[in-house]
Amino acid sequence: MKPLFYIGALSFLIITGALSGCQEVISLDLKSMDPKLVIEGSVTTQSPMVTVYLSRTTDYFTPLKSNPETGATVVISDNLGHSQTLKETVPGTYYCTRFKGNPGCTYTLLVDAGGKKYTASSVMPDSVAIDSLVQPPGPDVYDYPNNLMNYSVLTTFLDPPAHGNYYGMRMYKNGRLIRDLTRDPLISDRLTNGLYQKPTLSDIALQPNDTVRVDLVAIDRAGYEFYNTLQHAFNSGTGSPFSSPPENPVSNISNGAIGYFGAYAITSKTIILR
Amino acid sequence: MKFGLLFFLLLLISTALQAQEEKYTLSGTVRDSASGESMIGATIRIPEAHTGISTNAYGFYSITLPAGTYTVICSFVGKKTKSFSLDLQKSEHIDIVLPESAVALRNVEVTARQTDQNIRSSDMGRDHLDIDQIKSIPVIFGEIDVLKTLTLLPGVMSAGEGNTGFYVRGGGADQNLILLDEAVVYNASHLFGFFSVFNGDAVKDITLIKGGIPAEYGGRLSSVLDIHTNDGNSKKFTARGGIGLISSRLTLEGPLGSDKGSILISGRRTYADLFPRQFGPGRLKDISLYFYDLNLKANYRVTDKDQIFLSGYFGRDIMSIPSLDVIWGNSTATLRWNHLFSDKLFMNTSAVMTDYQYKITISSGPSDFAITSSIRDYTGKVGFEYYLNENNKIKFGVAETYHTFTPGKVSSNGLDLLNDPNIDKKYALEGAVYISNEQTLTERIIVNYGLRYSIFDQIAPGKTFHYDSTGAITDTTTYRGHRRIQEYGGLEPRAAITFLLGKTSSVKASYTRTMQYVQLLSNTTSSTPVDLWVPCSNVIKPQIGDQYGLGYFRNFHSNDYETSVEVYYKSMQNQIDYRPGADLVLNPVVESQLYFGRGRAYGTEFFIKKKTGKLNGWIGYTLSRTERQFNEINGGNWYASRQDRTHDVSVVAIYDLNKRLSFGAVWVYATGNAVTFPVAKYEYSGHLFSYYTSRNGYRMPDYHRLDLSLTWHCKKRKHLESEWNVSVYNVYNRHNTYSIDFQQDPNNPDNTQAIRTWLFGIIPSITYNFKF
Repeated sequence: MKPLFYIGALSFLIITGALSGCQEVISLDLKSMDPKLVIEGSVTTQSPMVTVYLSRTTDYFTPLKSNPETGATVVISDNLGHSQTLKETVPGTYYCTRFKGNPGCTYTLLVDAGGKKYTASSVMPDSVAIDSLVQPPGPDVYDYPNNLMNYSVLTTFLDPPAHGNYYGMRMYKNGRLIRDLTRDPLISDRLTNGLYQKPTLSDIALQPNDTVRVDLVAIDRAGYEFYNTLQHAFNSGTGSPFSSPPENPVSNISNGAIGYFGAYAITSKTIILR
Repeated sequence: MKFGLLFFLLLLISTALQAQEEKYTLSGTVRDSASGESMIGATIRIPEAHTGISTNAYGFYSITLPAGTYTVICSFVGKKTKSFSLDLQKSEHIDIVLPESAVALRNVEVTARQTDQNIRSSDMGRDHLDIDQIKSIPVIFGEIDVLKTLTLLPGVMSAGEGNTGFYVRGGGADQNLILLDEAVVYNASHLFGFFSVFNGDAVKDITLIKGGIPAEYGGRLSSVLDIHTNDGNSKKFTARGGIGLISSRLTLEGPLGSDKGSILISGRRTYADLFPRQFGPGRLKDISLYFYDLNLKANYRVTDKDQIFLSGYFGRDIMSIPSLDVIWGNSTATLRWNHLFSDKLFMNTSAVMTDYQYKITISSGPSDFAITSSIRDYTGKVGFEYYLNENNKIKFGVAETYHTFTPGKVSSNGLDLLNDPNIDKKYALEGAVYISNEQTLTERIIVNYGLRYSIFDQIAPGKTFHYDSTGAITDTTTYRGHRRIQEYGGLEPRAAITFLLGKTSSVKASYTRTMQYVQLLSNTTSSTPVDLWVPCSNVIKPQIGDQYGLGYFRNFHSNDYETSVEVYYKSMQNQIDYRPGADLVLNPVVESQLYFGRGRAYGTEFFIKKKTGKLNGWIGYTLSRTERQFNEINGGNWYASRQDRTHDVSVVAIYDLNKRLSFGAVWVYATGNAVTFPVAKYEYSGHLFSYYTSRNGYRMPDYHRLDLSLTWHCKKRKHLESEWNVSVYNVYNRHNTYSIDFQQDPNNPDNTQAIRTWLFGIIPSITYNFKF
């Protein structure tokens, strides 16, 4: 059985070494393009009522994270004839606190920036109450590459009987937002209509004695499609045989702007971690 | 189309009216003297009649000649050529047995065909690989792999590093008809494409047809890969096998009832995951990832005119990590009956079952649920080969397949996390009739013309959905009973012509139309177990391919060197791509996630092969372009598809130093894949995202690699023959790019960076093979 011995020994050495693969930062020449407007807007049932962030794209390797769009005219209106012009409080950030969103209403956003007009509208879904927010026993979610134990919270809510409900979730640690709609979980009732939904949220940042607030954000179909394709764009690598070709997220804004304007019906619950 | 049909009938009639003089038929089977295996593609030449023929997939040959005295020369790679003279005054049945060549070294010849077969035949874009030859080519982890070796041929491209997926002349991986003993293999890969389902020990003959596809094949657009397994040794019991770094295999074979038949059983199991589990860090112990497969074959000669074959394949991949288990694999079974109605009329009747399925079990807390998905086919077919006379070989037949598609079935216990999400099964019938003739028109012109008519019916029970442009359902129709829901069909003409320019050169041209009624939905390049096969429906139209080929073939040095240049143009209709963020798993309205467009591919293939001598091998070079056009993608402009590689070079060299020691080398070079890179970035919710302007507008860095191998044949001891094979993959340790990812610089959030990942550096491996 000599052959077996040699082969066994070599096999161990090679497989542990060879499959690890390696990475390095490289420089690439990428094309450049005219900056495009990016709109991130929402009307909610909670304060702040209306928030719109405007920015522009920059070439990929430009050493700049934010490129806010200032001096734009931003107007929100609803199907009941109300209308408000938003104020730019911080460069690129447009607020309005006296325009509360109501489920069932249709909201329309109008943005006039750089000589072009952009519009989008969204119907606010009914809000769905969180039944319970609990901490499952023990730090049970293992984060393999970081070798850390993650704490988690389990949210339970009942999906309404009608088809076509979509949800995103937000999580706050001690009042600070640590997870937004651009991250999992994004929930569709396609397979689970009318049933109890039990999404688990976990994060490395969570520690015992933290106050954790979870928002359940009911969104419309366009919102689900936008965040789904945005998450997909974020997760799809490039060129690996297991990735699919990356695509831009599906926007609901006219005139070629990137982004999404949505009416969010939000409910919340808070828990203190053990 | 009508003109084509008329032409076809006229040719057949002219054929039937030919030559009334007295003729006799020489027919029989060619077999290996040691194992009794029938030999596929052995050649019979009759120099006096300037004619020849090769044996069919069952080793049968038949040739009709005027009465007279002839020399019959029978040859096959690695075997002694047998010649005898024959006074043909009545029809004769002669079984020819070829002994192992005493002088030739193992693996000396690269091909198993008649020396000038490449010039004379009407085949175009066709390659045969001999399993012995594949065994001397270096491979990663020392695992012999039929599919990876195929990608070394011109016009055939690998889907990626270490991947068994292959693209033929710009066609997709699902456009290859992969047949294992006539059974369609729906997923030809193990472990996400790193291994193929074909166990080298069980395979006898491999034929790849890239263009000029004969009329007996259909159902896929691009190519046919026809694999026949070994029948088993009908003379004595033998065992052979190999012990490798990540897998071992064992084959047992022997006679079945006094030289009348044989049986073979062959198995493989990988164990690469055992070592990390034993010695790896903590959580790796809970991970397992392996596959096994089994091949079984039995055949029995019931009478001189009847032979029965039973063959089966069963393979499973198992991946298990905490709270997730995935099992997937193929199973196939084929029962065949060969019957000789006369020395001119050969029949093969087959009953075939093939099945691919996966099962995913997810356990979350107290409850768990399982998703199963499968495709299962039952096929019956009858094919005839009629050796009318020395100038005409007619093939005709019928085939019918019953498909059952189970896109997703969910079973759960514990809490009701899901409401009945079972997706309706789909049923379909796919039928075909064909007729073709290979005809020698003059001494210089050989034609092969055929017609195939295929028809596809989606049958009830089932539902059809209608969608608007955003993919939302506008209408649903439910069908009950067994009525027809949707029907497609069409004529698929096939034609090839060879002009012999002299003894050593020829020009060939071919045209092939193919139709494909089932498609693989896969949003990734690599094969994954959850890739879904779907039938044509009211929304998905059959894919239609038209391929034109032209080639110049020339041999040098008394056929020692074969060279060829082939050009092709292929157009593809009703191709599929995906909406952004397409959701393909457990989606009852998966059709809403699709875009439909077209494709085109064109290129030139150069090939030089040295067939004999101590140093043998080949050089292949392909210059090609493959593009797609979808109204919804890339602004409706044509873009390079993921199969597009401008340059693709393969060099294969085998050097037999002496009887004990031989060397193999492979060098490959390919233009980097067409990929989509970001052009701009933007901030959303405080995170950075990439913005893309054109699909596949960038290229990965070029790929190249050298592999070497050394085979040492140990001294024969009593009954034991053994050899060591050492191979080194990626000898000069090139870090070929596997993927490029874009991300925010972890040290400076204002910056973005591109990160390149490579997979395999230099990898040595060793395998021990034995036979007794």
